[in-house]
Amino acid sequence: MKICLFTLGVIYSLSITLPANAWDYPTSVDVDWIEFNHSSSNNSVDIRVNYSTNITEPEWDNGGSTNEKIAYVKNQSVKVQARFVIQGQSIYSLKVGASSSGFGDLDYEWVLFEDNEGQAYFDCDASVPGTVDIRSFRWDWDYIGVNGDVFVGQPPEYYGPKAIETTGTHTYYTLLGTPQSPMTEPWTVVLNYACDWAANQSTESGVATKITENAYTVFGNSHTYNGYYTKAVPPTFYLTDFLNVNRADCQDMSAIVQVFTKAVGGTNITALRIEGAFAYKSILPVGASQWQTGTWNFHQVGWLLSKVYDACLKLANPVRIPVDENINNEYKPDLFDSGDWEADTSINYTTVY
Amino acid sequence: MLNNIKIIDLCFFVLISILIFPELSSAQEKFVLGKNELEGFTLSGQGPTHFPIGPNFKVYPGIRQTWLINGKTDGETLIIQYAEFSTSPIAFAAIAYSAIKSSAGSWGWGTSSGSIIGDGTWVTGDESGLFILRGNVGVRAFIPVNYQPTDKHKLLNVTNILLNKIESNLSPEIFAFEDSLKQNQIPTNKYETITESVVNSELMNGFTPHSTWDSKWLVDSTNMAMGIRKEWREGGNTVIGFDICRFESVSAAEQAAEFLGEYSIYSGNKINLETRDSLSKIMADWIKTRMGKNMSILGVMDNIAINIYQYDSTGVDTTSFRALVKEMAEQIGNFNNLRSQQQRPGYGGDTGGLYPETELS
Repeated sequence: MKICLFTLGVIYSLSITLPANAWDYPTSVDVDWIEFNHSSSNNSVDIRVNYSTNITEPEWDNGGSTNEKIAYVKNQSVKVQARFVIQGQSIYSLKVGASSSGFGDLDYEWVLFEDNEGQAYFDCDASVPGTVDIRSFRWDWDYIGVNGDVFVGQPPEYYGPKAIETTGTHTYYTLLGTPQSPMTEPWTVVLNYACDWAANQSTESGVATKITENAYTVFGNSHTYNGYYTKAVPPTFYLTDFLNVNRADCQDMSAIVQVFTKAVGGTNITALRIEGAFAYKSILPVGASQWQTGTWNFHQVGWLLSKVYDACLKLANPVRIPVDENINNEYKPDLFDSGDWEADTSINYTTVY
Repeated sequence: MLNNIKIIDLCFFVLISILIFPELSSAQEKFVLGKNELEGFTLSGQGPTHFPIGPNFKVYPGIRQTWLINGKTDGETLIIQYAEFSTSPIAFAAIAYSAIKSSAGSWGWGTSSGSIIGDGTWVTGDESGLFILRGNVGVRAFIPVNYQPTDKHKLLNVTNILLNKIESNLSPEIFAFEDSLKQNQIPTNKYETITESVVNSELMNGFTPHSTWDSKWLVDSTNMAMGIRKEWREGGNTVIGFDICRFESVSAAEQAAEFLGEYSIYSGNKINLETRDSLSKIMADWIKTRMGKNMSILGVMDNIAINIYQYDSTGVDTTSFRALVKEMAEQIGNFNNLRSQQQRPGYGGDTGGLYPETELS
């Protein structure tokens, strides 16, 4: 009798301390990989490192030892695909999501497991910001349900989300729009410049302005103007070579303006050839330390909506890098001294190496 | 009948011809220097390239090499680009365009030594790059990074090696074409008749003969004429050259001189030899672009065209050069007058006539 009473007492004690439903948790859960440029909707933009090196999916892999940059168009919705690996018997599903520091959270989704592996698509509850930039964030992954049952109840340490791991820092470029030829698959080498230079811009003219100004300044530290050589004989721009030499001419700089703006999603930017020959007024060419005059067979500039964007020089009166300038009323009077001037040849760089 | 093909039309014909022969790009490797053929340099890369060869951004495939300069650690490299064309006239037009029209800064007729090498050479204002033309092959060699004036001889040495390589690999068809041109070349004695008094004048005191070359003058997309180009040197720094060519017609002479004038310097340097009224402006342009180190003038009188050029590393004496041009113009005029006299009815004896087919009446 005493034994029965004791046994009943134990059972009763247990019943008031354990939840009505008990779960078998996996002994471990890991994020195996995250794919941003997947085959479903709201995926990231397809990008590559440079001419010779592609970025393959999944962009985050191997515990973060692979952690590629990604790109999205401004204001777009985001969905990612992730795979998980678990250890533990009798686990066939987990309800997984992620909270973010720096971006949006991922909605919880049931991940079905087979042979201890499972994957699912996750929608982000925030859209990409509306301006160009380079941004970073992290995701704290967790699960709130096992085998079809969502944790409900108290205390939170038992019923709350179960941490999986933190992934990131994930770095993404925000683009103006869908990348355009000749950079339909933009290089991160280019986006590192373009998205940084055009940070906070949301229009093509704003982007082109910032790219022009920064190209003159930044490449002026590594390149010096030389009118005899170019890496940008239209319609081909040898960008990889250009980044490894220390000279630049107007064709190079106008190609930078066009190609970089198009990589970010600009649709109207081209280049314009101004045929001469003509003598020019005092200019400070890219990379030069002294103002100078001279003669050119021709000059070439960035051209957007009938405005000049010239990353090759500074004009003197007033001192400025020409951006968003009317070619006849503002630009030509401060550049052209004498000779011939025919500004009617539009140029598109169609191939980038 | 006058042939009034304009330069732009000539370029058009060149481009159409080039489109017919795209397969030539693979054959041009025989002109490319092997890795052991350039002492003092190490070949670090080779691949395709493009030459801009005509308006509207027309390009032509070629081969490009990057050579490291042994002993240099400042990134200085030599770049050599090669292109082989189907014919010599096409090559001349294409390379001339590439030199003069395709870069914002103009290259000019000549070299950093003052001599014209091969069938044509163009040099940058800072002397860091050279275009060389020989037969149907064009080459561009340049040191674009950290070029120093002391690199001048290095670059000239390379171009001479390139010239020899091209010469030894030109096809029989090219030589056959040149043999055909030689039939109508101005005879040497006629050349000397024109130049003798100038060469022996005070204007060229101290100059000694340096080189002789069968020069090429482009008439149109299929026709060239062969002239005689001789150079004289004084010391190591001064060169005077006279390239004289006779043509089948006055219009051919005008056309060829017009072309070479337009493709010697961006602003053109062809003058009327009799009046020489644009000579001052042309000389002023040369001074601006080449720092006064050389001058080159094209002129036509009757069916003779002449390229008079002078190089001086310390700067050309413009007064002397102007006198040289005037004197040569007078000599050509005298020669033509003599020829006219000899062609008058009743004149006897050897005409020394300009046209091999000229008959005395």
